[in-house]
Amino acid sequence: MTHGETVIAETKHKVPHHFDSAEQAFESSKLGLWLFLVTEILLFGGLFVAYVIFRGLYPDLFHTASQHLNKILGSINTVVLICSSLSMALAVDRVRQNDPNKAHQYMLVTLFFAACFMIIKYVEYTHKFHEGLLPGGNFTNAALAGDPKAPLFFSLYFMMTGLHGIHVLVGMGLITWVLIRSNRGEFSSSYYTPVELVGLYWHLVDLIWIYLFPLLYLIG
Amino acid sequence: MAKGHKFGGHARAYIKVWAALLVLTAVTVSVSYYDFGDWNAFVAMLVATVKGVLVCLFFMHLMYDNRVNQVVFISAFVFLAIFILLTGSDEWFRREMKPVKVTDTASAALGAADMEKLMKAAPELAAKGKEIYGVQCAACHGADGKGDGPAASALNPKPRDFTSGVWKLGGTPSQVFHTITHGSPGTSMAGFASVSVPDRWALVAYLRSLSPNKPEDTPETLKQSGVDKMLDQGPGTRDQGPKTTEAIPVSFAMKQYVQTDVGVTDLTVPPAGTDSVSLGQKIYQSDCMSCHGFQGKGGIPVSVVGFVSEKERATLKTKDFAVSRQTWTYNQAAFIDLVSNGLPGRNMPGFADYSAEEWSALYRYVQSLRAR
Ligand code: HEC
Ligand code: HEC
Repeated sequence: MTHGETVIAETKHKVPHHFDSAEQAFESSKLGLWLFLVTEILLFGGLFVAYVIFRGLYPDLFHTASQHLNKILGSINTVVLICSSLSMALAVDRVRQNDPNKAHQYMLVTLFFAACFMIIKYVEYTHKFHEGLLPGGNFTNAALAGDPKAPLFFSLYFMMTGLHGIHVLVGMGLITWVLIRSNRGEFSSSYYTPVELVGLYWHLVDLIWIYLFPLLYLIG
Repeated sequence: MAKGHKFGGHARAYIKVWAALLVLTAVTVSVSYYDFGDWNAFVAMLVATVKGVLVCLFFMHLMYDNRVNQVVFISAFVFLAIFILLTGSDEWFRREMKPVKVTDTASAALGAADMEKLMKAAPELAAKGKEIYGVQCAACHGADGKGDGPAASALNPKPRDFTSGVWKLGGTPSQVFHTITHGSPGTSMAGFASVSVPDRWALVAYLRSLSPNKPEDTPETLKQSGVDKMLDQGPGTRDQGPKTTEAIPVSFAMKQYVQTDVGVTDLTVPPAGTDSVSLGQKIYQSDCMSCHGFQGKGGIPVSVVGFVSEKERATLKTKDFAVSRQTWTYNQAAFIDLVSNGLPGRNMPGFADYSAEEWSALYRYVQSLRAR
């Protein structure tokens, strides 16, 4: 407990004085982030439960309604997110290897994939708006008009993908933030906690999509 | 690997995982084009889980992380499973409860000529009528039509004894047909419009065969009972087109009556001022009364509609409408929503076949019961 303001070599980062060592500080931050990720999973968990219950009650509705989602765009988005996860993992790896230039490139690539994801989502959403496939009382689609419960599926669709989309946007913001800090030379193999944590967050966003995609698009 | 994870560089492993994820994505997408029935969801979830595990273990390097973090993250999925299982168990263990569908197709194609034929109470119709009677009417009117069925003791007025020759609402074929169709308002004799037209005529034939008093139709009685319109213009207004109605089997309704412990007074004492019968009251008495009672006071045990064993009988009782604080008590749309969908978990069937006018009449009537 005597380190006080240890300055880590190569970066200007100071280990906060309530930690014994840089190692301990890193592990504590990470534990905090894992706990946060648990709450994220439970946040989405509520929606998953709603999905499970309503799918159980109206299996036929879910089948017909999910045919109105675009499987191709959904699949492309899945691939895009998986690629972004890879580039993020590589970026974290490069930071750890004291290779900031490569790391920046990978972060930019990650941002690019994230933007692709959002653009494809935008295309999908506009299409849904256009067809009147909207949640609740705004539902005006004629093809599904015969089923009074059809808006339910789209309420779930928009809630689940919408919440996920917000996470993607937040993730993009965070990646931009670590990119800027990295540009200022704040990270090295001895201190890269923010990059590591943003990476974990980003993989969680991918993980959630890995479940959303089959639930909404594939197994109607 | 243990040391390597810190500074070793994982690029190669990451790329392998990425390739595996892409292959798995291709697999789920292509599998989704084939129909494996119930297995679709299973296969898709299995693949998603394999992908998820890869992401967690390698991209999030949970595999090399310390034990605390592993336990923390896995606990999320344990909680999620508890969440899903407990909530889902409510739904999965509910009993199947579907209103019985009665398709009234037989009456649809009836022309005036058929109607005439049916009216001429042929003896073979009476035999068929006897069968239907045994299922639908005997519980009140008794197996031999003496008005002494198992439910009769709880009823006031008593069900008609057909062998007495008394007809309160008239004994000509058309009048009896009218009574069977519309019931005797203000009593527990409900209308049986859900029984097909030929079946109703068969019942008429059977009932008249029991009675020593068999008046014949005159033009006046035909007009009075509205049967003349059916003869002139084919199927009557209530029976137009094949329509599926959701009906409570009478045998079921009867079970409500023979449950002696509760609700009997409510069932047997009509509310005051029932002389002029409103549309709402008519609908209420034919469709709702068996479970909610004459005055909407509830307290009637409701068992599952449909064919279930004695053992499966629920002990649920309907509540007094007056004590409810639900949205339906002040909002007609909510009322329609509730009544048309029913309460599947609580054995309230759905009724969806009313016109807008009937809905608002029913709504007003149920509200008036609350005020009583
Ligand atoms: C819930 C018990 C119940 C059931 C079930 C029932 N009835 Fe009745 N029924 C009654 C009662 C009570 C009366 C006496 C009504 C009155 O006095 O106005 C009655 C009276 C009648 C009358 C006599 C009307 C008159 O003019 O006097 C006819 C006809 C009749 N029922 C036919 C039937 C037929 C046909 C069925 C089967 C489809 C049937 N009922 C089922 C309770 C029942
Ligand atoms: C098979 C029996 C049955 C029939 C027939 C039936 N109900 Fe019900 N109803 C129930 C049961 C059971 C409940 C739930 C009991 C409870 O929790 O109060 C219920 C609840 C209700 C409620 C909500 C009560 C509250 O406390 O908020 C309304 C309103 C209602 N029924 C209206 C109707 C109307 C109108 C009809 C006729 C069209 C009808 N019901 C026919 C069994 C029935």
